Amino acid sequence: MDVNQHYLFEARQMQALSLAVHIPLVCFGIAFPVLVLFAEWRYLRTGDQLYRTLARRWSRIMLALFAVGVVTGTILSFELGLLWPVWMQDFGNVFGLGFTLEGFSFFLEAIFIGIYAYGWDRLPARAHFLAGIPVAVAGVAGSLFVISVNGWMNHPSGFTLVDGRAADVRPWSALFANPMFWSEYVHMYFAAYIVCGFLLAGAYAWALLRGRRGRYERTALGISLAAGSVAAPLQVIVGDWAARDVATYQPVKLAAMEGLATTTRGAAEHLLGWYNGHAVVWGVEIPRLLSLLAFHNPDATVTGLDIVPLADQPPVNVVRFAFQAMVGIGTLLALLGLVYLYLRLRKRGLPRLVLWAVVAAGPLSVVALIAGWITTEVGRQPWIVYDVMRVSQAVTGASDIPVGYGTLSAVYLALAVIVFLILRRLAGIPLPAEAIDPPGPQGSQAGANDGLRSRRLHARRDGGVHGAGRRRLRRGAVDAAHRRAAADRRARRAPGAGPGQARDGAGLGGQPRLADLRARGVLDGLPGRVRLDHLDPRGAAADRRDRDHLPRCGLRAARGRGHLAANLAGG
Amino acid sequence: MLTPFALGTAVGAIAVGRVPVGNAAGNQVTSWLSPAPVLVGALAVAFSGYLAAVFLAADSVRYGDAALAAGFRRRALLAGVVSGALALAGLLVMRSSVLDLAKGAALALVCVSGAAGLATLALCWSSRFGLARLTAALAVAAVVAGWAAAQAPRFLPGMTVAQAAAGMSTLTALVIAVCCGLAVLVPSLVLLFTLFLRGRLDTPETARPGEAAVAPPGEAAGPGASAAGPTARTAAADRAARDGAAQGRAAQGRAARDRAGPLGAAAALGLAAGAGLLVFTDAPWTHVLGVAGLLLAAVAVFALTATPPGD
Repeated sequence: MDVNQHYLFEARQMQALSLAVHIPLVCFGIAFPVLVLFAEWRYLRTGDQLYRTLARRWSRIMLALFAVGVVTGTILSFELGLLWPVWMQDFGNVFGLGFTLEGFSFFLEAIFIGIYAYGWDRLPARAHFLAGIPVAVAGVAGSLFVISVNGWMNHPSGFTLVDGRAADVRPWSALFANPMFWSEYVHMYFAAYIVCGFLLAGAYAWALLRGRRGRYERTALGISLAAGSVAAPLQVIVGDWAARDVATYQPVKLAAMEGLATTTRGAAEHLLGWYNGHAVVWGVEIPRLLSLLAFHNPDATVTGLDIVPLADQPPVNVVRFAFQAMVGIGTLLALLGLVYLYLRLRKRGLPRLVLWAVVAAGPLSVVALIAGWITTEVGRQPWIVYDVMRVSQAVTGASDIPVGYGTLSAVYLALAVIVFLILRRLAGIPLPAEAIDPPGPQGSQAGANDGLRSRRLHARRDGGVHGAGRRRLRRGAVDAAHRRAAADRRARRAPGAGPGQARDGAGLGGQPRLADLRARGVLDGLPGRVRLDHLDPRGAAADRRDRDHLPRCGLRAARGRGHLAANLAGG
Repeated sequence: MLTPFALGTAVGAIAVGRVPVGNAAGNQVTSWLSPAPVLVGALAVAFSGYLAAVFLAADSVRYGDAALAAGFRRRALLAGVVSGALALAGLLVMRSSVLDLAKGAALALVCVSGAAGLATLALCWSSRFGLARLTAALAVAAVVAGWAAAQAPRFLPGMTVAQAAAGMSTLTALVIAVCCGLAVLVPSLVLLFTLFLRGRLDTPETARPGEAAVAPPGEAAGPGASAAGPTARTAAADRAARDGAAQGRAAQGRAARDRAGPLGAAAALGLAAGAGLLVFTDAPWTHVLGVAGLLLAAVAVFALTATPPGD
């Protein structure tokens, strides 16, 4: 019983919008925990505080993106039932298992991401690291279960169609014995590392280009760019495998991807160009390449669009353009990855051109990701279950879809602004002392022409004494002797670094200290009741610990400054 | 507040039979924006506030903030009274609808809920919030279970629960999935609640120091350890720490170079195997090996390149 849905196109667009917003966040859910755990593992192996800082800052971003992903994912899952109720009704018993499993994976991820992000100073180091492992596992598992459903939609199995309903259902084999599923999943898995890696790397490449060339930025760039650069070339191989699966199991989709109007032996590959309904025009034709790529035989017969009536064909130009965009960008990313790996293995520096390419690679990888999903989803049209149920049969009969579409767009816009603000704020938290190069032979990275940083570096070069003590203070477990030493130091207000040596905060939010915000002119016009003793830059988390002692700290700070002056004078 | 309200109205609409079977067959507004569903929605909001107040009161006691605990106690008492009133109102409304709350299991659960609600009020009054948490949760859970008991076997008008249910194979698969999921989830939830409710994830002032953390190598050696001395000595200690860290990094650099050979070999092997198997073979098991090969190459190259040179 088909309802006549006037707004079928809007319903499709609504679903597409939700998917397009959610999937990049999923990439972070898959790949980011692995990178964060890698950084924390390096800290545990080497004791280098920089890696701990990196892992900690990244874990905050990870948590924020996870929270947004929860919102978009919940919206998405409700939409699947609200927009396509007949699909749910007739086939929910076949693929519902995938979402059940994904639900548990999601809960697991939420629990442990909370423990991980909040447990930095509060759990023993090894326990904290282990708490992060379920996050990574759940990220992989959740996406696996969801993609198993999408794979089923593309290659349905595990049921018998009786009166339009699914009978004799075999849910496990429907989802996991699907020959198309594994190539699709591995393809998405590598794509997640490409998107996450290049987006992160782009941020740090930008920082390097702006002159913030500290060890922190270079290390962060190294890890994230390595992840993207390893995944991108390998993705070419996986993509080839996925495309051959499409050629085998969804020939009409492949024909649309390639603009192949008629079944052809020894089919040619057309790059670019436009499909006019009969053939691709104005494109670059490479003879026999399509047959070679799809079936490893230059004389193989490739199915054309003509095996199905026009009503059963997907919109060819959309699919074709998206596919070629994905392949084009993917190839460029693979080349960039190889270039970076070569430069890195040869221990050469990165020229500015490469850094600019990395900056561009972040957004481009998202474009490729969305283009790939457009290829597979639009390529499956008009089917929601390939060759079994059409989208028009599945859609809801509700009459106010445009209202929903408009509301959804407004919500996503607001969400995008919020995410941007949150990420900008997280990025603005100043780095702690140890994350900047320590002065001495190791640390003359004074290519920093960012004024604030170089002032800090210069100040430290002469006076910094608190590195070792602070490091010990920082570690989760502090034995009694260290506690005493720390208390002594706090009491003495040992001369220390210049402004802005903030400790990344005890709380999750990591509020930037007033001193740092003041230094950047952010907080002009504060109400008069702001406690001025907070402007003592040597406060650190000790201030937050002994709030009731703060007024005295101001006095001690003054004495401390005297110490610093004496130090500088006396050498 | 909007979320429990919306869910409550949906449940209420189903309970009073305003959701007919069919694709968008019900009225888009009056299905859920009529008295009974709105009442259930309000009840859901009241329940949320009620549970939150009781649990936060218990948390305040753990934090040692008496004023906060008193505030939440007041709110818990108020929310408890409101929830009870709304639940009673709901009972009256439902009696005149299709929902049969007077039969066995449903009646028993309603009574359990009422008793638990009264017990929670008494416990909150005497500020015994730990136990009040349990009775409050029981009260709310009993209402939900009571609804389910009263609703069955009817699901929607003209459709019983048995008719709505999926086939046996699906249900079996779901039960297995849920059991496996719970086997993983319940211990995790226990861990989470233990950590939070015992204060392990509180702010540092109230946290107990954990066992000695894994002492990372490469840290400052002896001289820096007991730096309670004058400035000069701590300056020297700091310089020693920096040199120690630098030496540590140099040592790691040497270790990295020693690893480079085997990692490179693993990368080459993985890539060759992976690419060869994935591109040129068709059997599923060869593809599994191929993916494993690619992953091996990926991990090996990542290990070689992820850290800055010399680290």
